[in-house]
Amino acid sequence: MDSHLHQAKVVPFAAPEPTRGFGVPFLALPFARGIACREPWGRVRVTLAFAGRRFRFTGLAPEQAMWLRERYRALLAKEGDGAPPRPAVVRVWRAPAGAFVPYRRHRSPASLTLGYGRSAVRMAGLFLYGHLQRGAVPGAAPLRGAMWLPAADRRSFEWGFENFLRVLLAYQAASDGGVLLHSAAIRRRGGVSLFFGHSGDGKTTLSERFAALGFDVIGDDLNVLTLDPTGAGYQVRQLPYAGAFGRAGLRLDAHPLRATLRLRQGRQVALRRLSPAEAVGSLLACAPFVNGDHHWRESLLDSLSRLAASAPPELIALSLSDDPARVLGVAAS
Amino acid sequence: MTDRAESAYRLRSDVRVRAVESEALVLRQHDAEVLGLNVTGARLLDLLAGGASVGAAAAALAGEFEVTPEDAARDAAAFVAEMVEAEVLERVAAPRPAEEP
Repeated sequence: MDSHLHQAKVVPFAAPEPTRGFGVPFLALPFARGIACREPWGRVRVTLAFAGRRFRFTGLAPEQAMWLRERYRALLAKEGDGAPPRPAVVRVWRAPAGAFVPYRRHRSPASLTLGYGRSAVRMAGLFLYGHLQRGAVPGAAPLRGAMWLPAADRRSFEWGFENFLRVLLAYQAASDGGVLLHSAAIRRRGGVSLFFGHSGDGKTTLSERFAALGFDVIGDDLNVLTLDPTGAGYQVRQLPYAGAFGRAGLRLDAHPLRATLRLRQGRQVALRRLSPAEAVGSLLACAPFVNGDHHWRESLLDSLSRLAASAPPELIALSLSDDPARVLGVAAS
Repeated sequence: MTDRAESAYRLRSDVRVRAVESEALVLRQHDAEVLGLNVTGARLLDLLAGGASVGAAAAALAGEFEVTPEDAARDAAAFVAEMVEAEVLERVAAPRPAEEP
């Protein structure tokens, strides 16, 4: 019998529930319990389309709509065409003055606190308070939500909006049987190799090195995996404006997933197949926002099990001096 | 049998176990941590969580896998210790013996 009965490396898969009260790092008291006012910034709406879904944002001021149309130009959908599917509707409300703690430079603009209720998720982040109605189980109801954003300056508006959008897209992907993964997506020979891992595991460094070797980097931070409509596995799409490569421009196209690899930094090169439990556990740990939601976790694990069966992950450990293309035995062309 | 062999354990209240093929994924929901168990670890946890004592679980393992009873007992005891430390299992208090009239 194998004397190692288990792979008992305990890894965190989500942030633990906050103990100081929801939203405290971002929301000033007395707003830490939530913001109740319902005053829109304006009457303009913008609809974005991503991965076969549409998302309508209402209550915008004209300048806010203009900022969104500039930033997400490639995702803009036609307004009012009535074409299915029905859009997920998100109302944008005016946050009262003093609702948010001033920005501190040591804090990442993308950090979030999430609270998981039976039918809705609350979120608080940099210049953002929001909630997303997502139903007790995936597919039970279309997504809809609301976000409270503060002053009308462009930077704080875009930060808050983008943080909400990441969570919204993660839940939409999960609702559709896919997943949002912390990952670097490298395209070669018509398919994508997906290197998933946590912050600090080397996704951006790996992406830069593949790019220098002539490979096509789809995204180096967050990518969305969706089911291929033809039934042939999964497709990979870059999450809008995520990561260093993402901010250079948005790639809308979907690419077939060919391989998944768990990326780790190591002193020696290592490449081995992950066991089934290792594979699903590793994917869970890299699937942000939804992985902390105990109402949706079983469904997410179903999706991750299917993904692991479709593209069985390998563990790849690389040092800073290793040539990833040589290790994988691949060439750009 | 030693006292340890007769001990029984149960899953802590915030622990969820999910089968992944013949292996198992153990989620500690309170601290949002996950660990994976291979085939034999998954089988041991299944036996222990189902009410088997450590000794009975070791005996079952020896019968199902190619291992001596002594090795199975030692590995089962080590496994239990590690699962307790990882806050996956907690010991079930033994029932008090009935008082003599």
